[in-house]
Amino acid sequence: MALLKIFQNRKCGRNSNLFNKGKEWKTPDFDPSQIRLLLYSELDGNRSILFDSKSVIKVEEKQSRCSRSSKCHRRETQPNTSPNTSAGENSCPRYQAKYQLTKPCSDFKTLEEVLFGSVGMAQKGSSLKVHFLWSQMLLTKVFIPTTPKQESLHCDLDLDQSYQSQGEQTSPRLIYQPEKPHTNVTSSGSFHTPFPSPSSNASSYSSMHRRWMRSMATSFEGIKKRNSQDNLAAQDAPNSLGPQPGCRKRKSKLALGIVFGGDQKQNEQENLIFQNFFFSHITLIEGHLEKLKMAVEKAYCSKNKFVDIVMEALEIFRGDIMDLYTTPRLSEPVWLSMMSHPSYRYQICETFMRELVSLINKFDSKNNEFFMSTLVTAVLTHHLAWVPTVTPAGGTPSKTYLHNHSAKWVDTLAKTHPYNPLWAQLGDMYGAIGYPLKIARTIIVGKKADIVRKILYILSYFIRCSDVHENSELGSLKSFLEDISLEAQEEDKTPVQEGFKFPTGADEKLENYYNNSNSVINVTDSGTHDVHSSGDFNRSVDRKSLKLDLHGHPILHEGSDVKRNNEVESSLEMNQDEGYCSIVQSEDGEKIKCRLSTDNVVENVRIETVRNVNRAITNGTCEEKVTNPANTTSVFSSKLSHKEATVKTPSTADIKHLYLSERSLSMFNEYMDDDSIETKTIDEVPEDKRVVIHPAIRDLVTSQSLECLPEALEAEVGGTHQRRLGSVGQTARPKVSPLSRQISSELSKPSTYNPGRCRSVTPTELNRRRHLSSTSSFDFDHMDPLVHFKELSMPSISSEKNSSIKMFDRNFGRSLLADFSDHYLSNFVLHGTSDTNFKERLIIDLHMATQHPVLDEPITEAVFIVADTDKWTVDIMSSKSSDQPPKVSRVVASQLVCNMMDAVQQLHKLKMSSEFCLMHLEDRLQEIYFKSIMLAEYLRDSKNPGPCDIKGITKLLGFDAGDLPLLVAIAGTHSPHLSLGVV
Amino acid sequence: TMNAIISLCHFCEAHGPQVIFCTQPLHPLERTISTDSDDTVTDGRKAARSSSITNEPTTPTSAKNEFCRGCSSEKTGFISRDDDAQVNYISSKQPYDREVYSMSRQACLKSLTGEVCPGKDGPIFFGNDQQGHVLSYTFHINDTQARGSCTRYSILVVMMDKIYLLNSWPFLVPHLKTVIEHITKKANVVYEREKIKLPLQPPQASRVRSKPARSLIDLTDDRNIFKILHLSFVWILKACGNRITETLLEGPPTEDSIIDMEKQEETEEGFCLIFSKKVNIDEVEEESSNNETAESPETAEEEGPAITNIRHLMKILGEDKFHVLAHHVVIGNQIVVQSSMASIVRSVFNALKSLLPKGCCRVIPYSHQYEESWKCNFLGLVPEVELPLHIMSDESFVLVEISLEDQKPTDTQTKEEENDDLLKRLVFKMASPTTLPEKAPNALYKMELALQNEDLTDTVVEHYLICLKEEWMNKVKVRFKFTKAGGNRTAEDTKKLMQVIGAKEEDTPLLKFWMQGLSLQYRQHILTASKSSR
Repeated sequence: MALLKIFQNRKCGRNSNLFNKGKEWKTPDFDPSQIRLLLYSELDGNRSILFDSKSVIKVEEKQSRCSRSSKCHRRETQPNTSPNTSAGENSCPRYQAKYQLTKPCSDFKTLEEVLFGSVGMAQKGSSLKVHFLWSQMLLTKVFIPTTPKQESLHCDLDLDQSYQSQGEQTSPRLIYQPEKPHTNVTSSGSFHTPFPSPSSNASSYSSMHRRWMRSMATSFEGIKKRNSQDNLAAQDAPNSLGPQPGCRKRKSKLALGIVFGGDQKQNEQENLIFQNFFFSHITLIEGHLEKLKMAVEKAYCSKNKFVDIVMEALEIFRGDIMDLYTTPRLSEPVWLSMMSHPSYRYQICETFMRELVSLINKFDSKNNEFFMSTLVTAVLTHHLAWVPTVTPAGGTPSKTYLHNHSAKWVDTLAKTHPYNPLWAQLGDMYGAIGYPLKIARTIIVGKKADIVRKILYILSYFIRCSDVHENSELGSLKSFLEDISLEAQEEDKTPVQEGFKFPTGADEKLENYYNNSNSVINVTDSGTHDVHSSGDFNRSVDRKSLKLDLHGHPILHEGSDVKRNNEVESSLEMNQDEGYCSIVQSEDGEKIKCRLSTDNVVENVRIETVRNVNRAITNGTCEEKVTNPANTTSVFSSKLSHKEATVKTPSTADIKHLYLSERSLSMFNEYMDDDSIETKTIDEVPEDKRVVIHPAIRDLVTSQSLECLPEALEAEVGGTHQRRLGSVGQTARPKVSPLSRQISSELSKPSTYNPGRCRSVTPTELNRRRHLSSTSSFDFDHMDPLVHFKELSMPSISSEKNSSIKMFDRNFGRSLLADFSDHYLSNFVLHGTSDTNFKERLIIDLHMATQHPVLDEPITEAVFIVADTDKWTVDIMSSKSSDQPPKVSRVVASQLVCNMMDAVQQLHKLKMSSEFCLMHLEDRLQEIYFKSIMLAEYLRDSKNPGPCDIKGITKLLGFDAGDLPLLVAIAGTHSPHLSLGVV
Repeated sequence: TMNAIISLCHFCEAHGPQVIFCTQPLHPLERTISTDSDDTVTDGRKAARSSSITNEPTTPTSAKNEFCRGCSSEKTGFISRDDDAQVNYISSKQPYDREVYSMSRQACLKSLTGEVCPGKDGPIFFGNDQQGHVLSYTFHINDTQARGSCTRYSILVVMMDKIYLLNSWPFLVPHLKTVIEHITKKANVVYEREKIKLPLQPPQASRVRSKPARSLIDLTDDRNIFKILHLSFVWILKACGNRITETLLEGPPTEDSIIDMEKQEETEEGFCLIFSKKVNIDEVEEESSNNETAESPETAEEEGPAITNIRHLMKILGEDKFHVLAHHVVIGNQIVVQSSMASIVRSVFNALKSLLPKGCCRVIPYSHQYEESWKCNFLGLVPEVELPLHIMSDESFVLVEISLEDQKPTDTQTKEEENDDLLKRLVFKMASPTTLPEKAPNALYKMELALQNEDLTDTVVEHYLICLKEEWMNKVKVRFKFTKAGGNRTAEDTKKLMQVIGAKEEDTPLLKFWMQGLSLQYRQHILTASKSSR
């Protein structure tokens, strides 16, 4: 018997080794006490140090020095508000401070300048900085302290209150409310950008959309929109503060600096690991910094406890960073390992199945309330990144059967719409891919470490994320530089630009036109139209007559006289059709309102085309050109009289023009040739007037470009320009390559036909479209402005994919799945602990998760799954419930998941291969996905799916009420338009 | 590439901190959108806007049209096209966009005057959400003619994505350093040369004379220095974007879409892989027309009355008749439809197909001769054709005759009304030598329930059928694996398996028939996988 027991134990030990083998976790060296906190304030240009953790001593030890050190403290903070500070000393006997500040360290002046900057700079909102102090890193937050609520001024360290006040603060983030009307429903909810939105059952919709949105949100194109919103917030924020009674009266600026690392030279290798970790995990670290900042704000208003509060917060911060950096990670997260080691897949599969089935055997019965199914239900409901991994790919041309396979669109998307893969991975891990956007974490609680470990191991299959690779073989910039410098030396003179050339003789048509210079060609189409385009974009647009002012000399004039420019004003009739209007700004300058109707998401690729037209018109209006006094050369004279060869240095305005005007031209063409726009075409305009339009714009463009390229002026004349003019004169429609024509019509199709229901769009298709759409707007090489710049060929960079990052310090997949720990941990997506008393920390984390979203976009809800292996319960804690503490809701297993677990168990029992069992598991997950689509379809179609008829729905569609939360959550990833009113 | 702008700034004695050269990737599509933001200004305010561009308040140099060599870089700028990624890298003195410009300028100011870098030269990061986030690497270049014999420069990487920029620090900083070393090395050569030439000149003298600032070209004595900068910045932007990549997995395509693909391959090759035996010319024609209908039902749609969908068919047939017909369909008995109305025959098949996975549908829509059941489970025939005798006795099939009830249509009817009327007069006669099992497969009952349920719209029913078919195909897969690839199985085991997959005795005919619908790819995958794992 005893022998048997030993044997069992050994067996058990070997088993658990299976998923602990490989690289054992090596705890990196880290001394949290070396984290130093510095705090400075700036008021009316006066700076002073408020706190330096290096000069803090514990009171118990140095009781006698109390008065002296508090004096020191006061002296330092004197410039701020002396009466208030002195109160600290007075109250000293009442409140027994635990810490005291001593003399600041010698380097405090230097650091002060580093933290704040050398000169006081006006700034809105807070800013983040990173400096290197030799081997140390300094992370700084400069901010205007917001006062916590009045009550909290009485200063008990009541974190909840301060969180509340934080919530009320008008932070820029809160501006992007997903509920905001007219906001495109996007995963990030923060932006309305027209996006070719696939219909509900499009493959990988959520993954791709999220990444695309991120790219848009962080590209420079979004600046304007963002800024206008942010400025609002920035203006509001100080106002809302107001003078706070009881707090230091005038607004001051605080700088909070954290120094990482010790003074002495440390192990370089260790340093490097920490630096990598620091920079890749910065968003999580910043979250802790934010928490610290909030504590500092509170301390700032609570004079006598200032040092204690800050010290306490610092200790928490140190602990958090310590946890984040040194906690042992799961060494073999199943999903990631299967992805990154396809060759071990079989082995991993065997181990996983054995463990899964053994857990189901033991812990998925009535006795333990179907613990495993319940837990997996909860994980599948909230860590939603598995959904794209079972979403069927479109027709992938492949000869062999692909089970889960890598999505091809990723690379294309990354190329054309750069986004941060690390960020995407983090979002995957937290399950932040649905709509509304939520983030989830899972905590397994239990006294028995081995059971908890096994469960963690199993869950690392269901909590999925992308695999991040690092390409270290980029080649060396150094050698590249040496090579090009050689090349560059050889090339001596920059060749004459082959830009636009002039016709030798004045073009007849042109001449006629200018002789006729005072005639006003005015074809207007004015009036306000309510336009319904493609059934989706819906706005009223004022169609003003669009004027094109041409200021130019008739040929006979000498170019020197600017003032006598004849003004040729031609009102240009743009063919304003629906497509065009759909994106034109409304009169009051409001932003485009793209409201997605709730019942369908339609691709609207064409929007781009129309913008181009808009652009073209604006640029055609070239007052800038003429009103610029610096511009002594008149447009047309320089072009038409050959004597004139004023060499001008291109001003910034010129360069700007170059871009703008040239772009307008091509866009104009694109517009003209977009077959999809059903217009009263240009043919309706009398021919002579037609001719006017194009050359006018062309010539302006040409002349501008020439100003930048004086060399070209006297070069061989005729060629391109004449040809172009000629073609325009004859046809009025510039030639378009068949390609672009094809593209434009193809692009426009999806938005026009089948408005009610879109067929599914595969990611491959989307790629193609996006790809084409960019081609189409760039298909005008011969007149693209960019030809004027000297073209240099791209440096070659190898873009081979390298192996996935296995180190925890540079990616989240290997970093946020923690092993068993003796205490609760923040940040980790998954971890186990024997600790049961962590509710307070958990609540704080819940609040922080929504108040300072690590994903840099607003989070609607944070959800923590707490599974207790001692009590066999699975609970959900949500940030949403307004109750304090948050409501805990018990998870009920979904029947679909129960059936899935059961099937896998039984198949395994029937000795089906592990690989097949896993395939079946995936098939079952896919079934669940299909069911969610059906549910979404049902909710979309049914007129009034009141929340009451859950029974009806489940009966109709044939599933259990317990399946509903799961199915609804999944539906949030593929049918964001459903603000599902159920459940 | 990255959504980032790299710029070179310097501190000009005369003009203060200046952006002198910047490189940014422009996505053609992005370019149009971004500049559109300018257009948010209305017509009325357009004049104001355009004048503000010309008199750019933040560009004192350009407004005054002052020329300063120190602040100048390249007249025309550079462009590199990355056709692969559809991105152009453009370098010029300033970013084209006003917003972006002012952001770069702010960053430049802070980098050279505001923020402090411990040790003067080196990398720092600063920024906020409004003005962008900046990685700034400050350095100095020795210049005999400058005050203090050196000029301060910095290279900035500006991004809106704080996280991405900080994530990229470990890559960007060493590479910026490489570029800077390249520049300073060249400048030092010039500096040393000039120092020798002017050994007697006291350093103060230069200050008094306040010589005009020199351009980087002079300082490095390299007329191509900006070209080099352009290429290096492009290199950094692109390499940084390529540095981190990700792999995402997506699910396997559905069996139906694999079948579609396999069918496409068949047509491309001119022959079909599955039915390639004994093909005569006649059949190839049949086959291709079959493909036509399968791929694009709309184009193959003929003039004439048609049944719209499976529900419609159910209504016309009546539930009892429908049940019998559908039962034949789901267990794979051949459905022979004889009628003079080709359009009706086709539409009946199209409707019935929704009861089966695609792989199980082999249709010969309208033939002039009988085709055997291994070739097609849906066969349309002209009325004259007699079924061969041996077929009548051997094969499992159902014969459906569709005719019209006699009634002369009135002349006044429009075509639509006529069709409508016609559909009402259809008469279905069914006859089969095959006796159906007593109980129909459970999947069929479920399908019928959904079809009968008026609360479900056609779309929902469609998805319901998809779900059901996928569910049962997964059972079929398990059974396939179990029987074909699992080795010897006892009857006991089989019974157990049926239990596991939730199938009963009456489902067996369906499972067996649907197994034929598995794609070749899947079959091969399962068979090879089971071989390799053994």
